[in-house]
Amino acid sequence: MRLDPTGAQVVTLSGELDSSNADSLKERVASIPPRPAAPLIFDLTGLRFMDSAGIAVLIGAAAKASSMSLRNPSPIIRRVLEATGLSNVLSIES
Amino acid sequence: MRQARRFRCRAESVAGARHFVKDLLSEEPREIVEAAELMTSELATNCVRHAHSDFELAIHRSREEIRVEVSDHGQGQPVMRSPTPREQSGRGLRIVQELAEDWGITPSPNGKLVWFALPARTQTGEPLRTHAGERKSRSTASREQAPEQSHQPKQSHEADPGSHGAASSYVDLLEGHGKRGPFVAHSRIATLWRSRWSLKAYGTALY
Repeated sequence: MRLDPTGAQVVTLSGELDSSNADSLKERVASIPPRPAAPLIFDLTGLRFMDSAGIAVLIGAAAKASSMSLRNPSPIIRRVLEATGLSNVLSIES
Repeated sequence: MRQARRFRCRAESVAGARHFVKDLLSEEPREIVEAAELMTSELATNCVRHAHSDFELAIHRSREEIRVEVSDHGQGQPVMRSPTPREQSGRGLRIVQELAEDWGITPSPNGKLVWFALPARTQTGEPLRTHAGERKSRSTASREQAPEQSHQPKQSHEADPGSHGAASSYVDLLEGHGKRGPFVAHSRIATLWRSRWSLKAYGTALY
């Protein structure tokens, strides 16, 4: 996790995210120091794969953040977010 | 052609299953491979997390269709839910419904088989020809059917119930015995499905 120049908290994910490591990510996200005014950004540029277990972690993080967005999700993830009605909860950075 | 592999009931088997699919479909378009990987991951996760069962992953490929089957020995049937946007779980089968050309659940005497189908890339890009006589009625439960209506006792899968406890093994079998007719779809229907799937899943706005 790092702070970008705008003050947003950026969590960079890479590799593959599924049920085998989602709990670990959930713990890591929970350990991020709370910064109520700082937007939370998940940078998914390097994330090759994510299934619904990863989406669950992101939804949980969004519920606790003042604002949260996803950066560069893959096309298949965009499609899933839109198809499952999650694009409002997990907004995609424009 | 049918290619199959058995996986242990372990968390890492979920990644193993989707990598198996990805490798076998390596020459297919990216969007097909990604959709197959994602749906496989969801079904494999259900086996490990909910059925608590070893599972077999089988991929059937014809000129028209890619069909992926995941069979386990767990009790109970998966149920497609409609979670609210803020609920964290319950989207596995919903994702399958959204991405698959077709899918279904087939109960078996000692478990169940969940399958999904995607359009295969044709070799020539030309419209597919009809294969008279290959069309058979879809006998497994489809997504239009309620789970309680899906019982088809004769539709057991081919996984060997006696070997599910064995170490993961690789089985590569040629099909050709006609037993798996239901996924040899009529070419016209397959073409329609393909068109619908392409529009539904991968609009130009996404690529």
